[in-house]
Amino acid sequence: MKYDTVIGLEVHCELKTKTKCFCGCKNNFGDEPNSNCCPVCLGFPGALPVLNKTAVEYAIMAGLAFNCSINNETVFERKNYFYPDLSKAYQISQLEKPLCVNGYVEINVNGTTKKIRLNRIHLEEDAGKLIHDGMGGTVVDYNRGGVPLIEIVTEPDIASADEAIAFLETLKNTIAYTGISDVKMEEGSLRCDVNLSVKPAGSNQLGTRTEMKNLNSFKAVFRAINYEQKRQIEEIEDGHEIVQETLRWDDALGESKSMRSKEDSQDYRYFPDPDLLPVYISNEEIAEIKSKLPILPNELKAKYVSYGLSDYDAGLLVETKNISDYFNEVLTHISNPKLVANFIINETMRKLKDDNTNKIDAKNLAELLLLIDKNEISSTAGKQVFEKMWETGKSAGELVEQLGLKQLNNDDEILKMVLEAISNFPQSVADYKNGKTSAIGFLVGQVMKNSKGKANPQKVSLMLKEELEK
Amino acid sequence: MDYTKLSILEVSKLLHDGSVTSEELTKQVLNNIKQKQNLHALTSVCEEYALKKAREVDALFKKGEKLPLLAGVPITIKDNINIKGLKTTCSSKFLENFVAPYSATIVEKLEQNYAVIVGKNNLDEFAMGSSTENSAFFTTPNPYNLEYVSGGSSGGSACAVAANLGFAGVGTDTGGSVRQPACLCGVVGLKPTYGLVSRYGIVAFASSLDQAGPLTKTVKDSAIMLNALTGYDEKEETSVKREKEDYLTSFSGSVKGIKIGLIKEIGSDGMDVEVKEKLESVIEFYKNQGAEFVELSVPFVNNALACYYILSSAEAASNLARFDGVKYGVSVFDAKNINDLYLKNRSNGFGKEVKRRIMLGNYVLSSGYYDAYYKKAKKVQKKLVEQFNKVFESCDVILTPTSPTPAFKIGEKANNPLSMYLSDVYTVPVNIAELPAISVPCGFNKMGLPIGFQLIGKKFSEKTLFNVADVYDSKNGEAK
Amino acid sequence: MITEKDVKHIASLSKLEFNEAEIEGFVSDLNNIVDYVNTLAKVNTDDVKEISNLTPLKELRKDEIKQSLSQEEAIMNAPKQKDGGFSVPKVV
Repeated sequence: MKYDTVIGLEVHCELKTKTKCFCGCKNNFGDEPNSNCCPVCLGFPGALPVLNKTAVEYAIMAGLAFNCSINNETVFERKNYFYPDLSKAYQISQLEKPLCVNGYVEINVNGTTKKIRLNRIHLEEDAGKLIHDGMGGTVVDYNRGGVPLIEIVTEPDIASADEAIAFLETLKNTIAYTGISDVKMEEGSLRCDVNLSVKPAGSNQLGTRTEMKNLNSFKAVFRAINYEQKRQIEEIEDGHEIVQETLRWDDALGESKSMRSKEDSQDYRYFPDPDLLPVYISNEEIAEIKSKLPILPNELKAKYVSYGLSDYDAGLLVETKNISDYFNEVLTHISNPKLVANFIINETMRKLKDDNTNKIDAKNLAELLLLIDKNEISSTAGKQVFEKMWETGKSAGELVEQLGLKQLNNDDEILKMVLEAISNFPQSVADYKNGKTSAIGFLVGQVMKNSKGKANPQKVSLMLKEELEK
Repeated sequence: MDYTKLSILEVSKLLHDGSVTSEELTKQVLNNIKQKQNLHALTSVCEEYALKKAREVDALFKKGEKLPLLAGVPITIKDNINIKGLKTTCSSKFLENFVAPYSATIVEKLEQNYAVIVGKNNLDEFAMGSSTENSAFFTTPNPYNLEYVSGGSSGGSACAVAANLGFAGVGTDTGGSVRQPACLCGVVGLKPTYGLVSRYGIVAFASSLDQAGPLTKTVKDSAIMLNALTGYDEKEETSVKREKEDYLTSFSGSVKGIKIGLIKEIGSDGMDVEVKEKLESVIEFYKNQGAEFVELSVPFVNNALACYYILSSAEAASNLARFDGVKYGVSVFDAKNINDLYLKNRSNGFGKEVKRRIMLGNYVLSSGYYDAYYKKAKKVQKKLVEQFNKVFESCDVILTPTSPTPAFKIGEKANNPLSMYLSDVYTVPVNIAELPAISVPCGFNKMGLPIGFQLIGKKFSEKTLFNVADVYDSKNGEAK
Repeated sequence: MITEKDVKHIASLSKLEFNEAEIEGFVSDLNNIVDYVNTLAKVNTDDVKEISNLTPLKELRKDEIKQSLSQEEAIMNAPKQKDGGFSVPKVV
């Protein structure tokens, strides 16, 4: 029996505003516990929330980046439940009239494109952090409490772990381009819950779904989906029913455990927050926000193609914002997109596979590439210098001097060596004149050897040809 | 001389002309408080805080600085309003040790006006009640007869003003909690238009209904207080942005041509006979002064109470969820787990009425009931606002009694929550419709207990209210 | 008609615990109050517009940092504190 897996994701993304969603406290990761807090985000008696304009604008930007409709009227509700990281015992969130509805994310898995539809993107506040104190207790830090989040909810269009990862990577990268979030899963600015069910292949009836939480990396999401998919299928084949429950993923053990039993189903008692006014957003304001949206991956890719890059190379460059930013910056110092793209794709990206930080800044790479571009060093020499630059942090100019890699461009000197080679290797000359055009390769090689690799190979080749044709 | 019997207007003159110092005044008030401890009008007294402020103000007066009317005047604040560094208990066991780390915006405004805060007033726990019998610490009896209630939830504030324990009190009014105790204690109580006075720093009961308001001996004093309390607050989204008015310019002394409305749907059911008589004499008075009376219809006015209990309980249930004993409040130390901690702290910390409102509130919000109760009540509210807006096209103010009865005996309604709730029947529609209203004393019953009447105005018409109320008050009340 | 089961469920949502007598009391109290507020069901509200009193986007709070409380002020009322934070029984 074959099964289809049906997956919906709920992704939470922290917005990089200066202040929290409902108060003027600093929105910052890693500060001393409870040092960025005030009566509002601490839930002190008498405190009141005041909505952050930039948080709303950023949420709208996310909606526009993913092709959503933006609601002109939007309302905030209270989601009531008790948990120590929730200082007011309610989270200010959105239910009936969220900021953004519908929309989609286009993903590419093994060459196939697929549209994953979005149900909504809404704005809400984050909860604080629970820290286990190592002695059987827990300590609460409310610094993160009140930080603005967007919640992105997909339709159950995702069919596999691969698709889920492709979705998350595309989502993460596109959001990075908007600038509204750091999207660092390891810092918690990007979080993902997975809703998964299985059904007999081709069937129209959806199975019972489970919800998985505590997925702290893309790898964990991948593993958890495969685990849960397998577990549900096994349960069904054993004749058991799937229990609708929330599961906590343990990445170290590679398994999930039930968090809440069916009986404890939460009644959040949503109602519009009486302390917050509904917000009106005009179509003009939406258009203005759209016009200020930074360039997104698709558009940027098209731009690169217009520079003369291949579709494939352009695609590689926009895949991560850091890379395209780097590419753009290098291009401000040297106007040879193909050369720059070549080096970044084949050299920089290759090194980054093993090394997390780009050891060569844009200006320095540009310096190296200018040397190649002006034929002052050969392309091969360039690669050598690149390696040394990565290792030592020294500049291209310095290293070229140090390694004596400066290309020989002087026509007279090259001519001298060309004539030498012609006189030293009459057999090759004769072969060439007799139609064996490839014999020139040997002669080029000899000149290169003679010049210790420094002669400009294109010039050598040209001059040899000229002399041989005489 | 005993200055504590004077009005703010009177004592302010004396402070400004140097006849009395704020320190002297404050000491007199503090002494009254000590003498009348059996009134339990205050949960705490801040003697040092008050004297320090009084001395500061005296120094400024001496320098010849131009100071506001409230400068140097001792007042009290309901104990659900935060003053930085002082306790805010909300008359609850839960918060008996809570020290406010910040001040409410209205407290900042009063201090900018150099008022001298001498203490915090007792209230029904978390402002839920109509008799101050729900305070976890003590009941505040009626200053006119200790066997009777002072009303609630701002009973302590009303009693304090009536007993000269301060020249004004600041209370909060969600369903009548400033007006009803003012009425029962024979003082003036104002509930401003929703949004006119900042809510920031006032412990929330029902967010869409709460408004802080002054309790004073005279209507003119109420205007002085309102001048100090109003102003847009950017820390509150529901604070209304509008230009500040000078309420002291309200008083023309005449009501000639003023149209006073009487709501026909408000019957005399449950209205005490003497209250009815007094109301009729008030109507006579105003007629003699040249006011016209019109009959109005507000069809949903009798639905306001049901609406109120749904909306206020629901919002209260949510607002009081933050009291868990983690960030502040009284907590147990032997809880087995977090759920146990919540259960024990909240069950130990809250009184019966508070628990009742929380239970009702969570019931009406719970899954399956939200549409029928909360959502429905919100719609009824909108209709009531419309209906009141309509009737104000044909009148300037509306007249009703404030309370259907004078003060009742302590313990009389304690076991019948529904009968207690019915004492709010004339005041509640005002909060639901977001309107301003003022309660004015108009005499006593045979037992010597105060009776009052209520004037309701359209939104932001406090000036009209003050004028009409003052015409009665200045001719019949304390200020004559 | 509110039952004992309902009262227990609401008590659990409210994080309040009651003894049997109190639960019985609530069954009666809540039923009385609910009977009273049920009168609203008969009121005609068909023409009421749902969302009102909106605030325009441009008038919302600017994203500018304001002074926070110090860590000390934040935790000064905590019944149990540790390492600058609020101490609670262990939570999974």
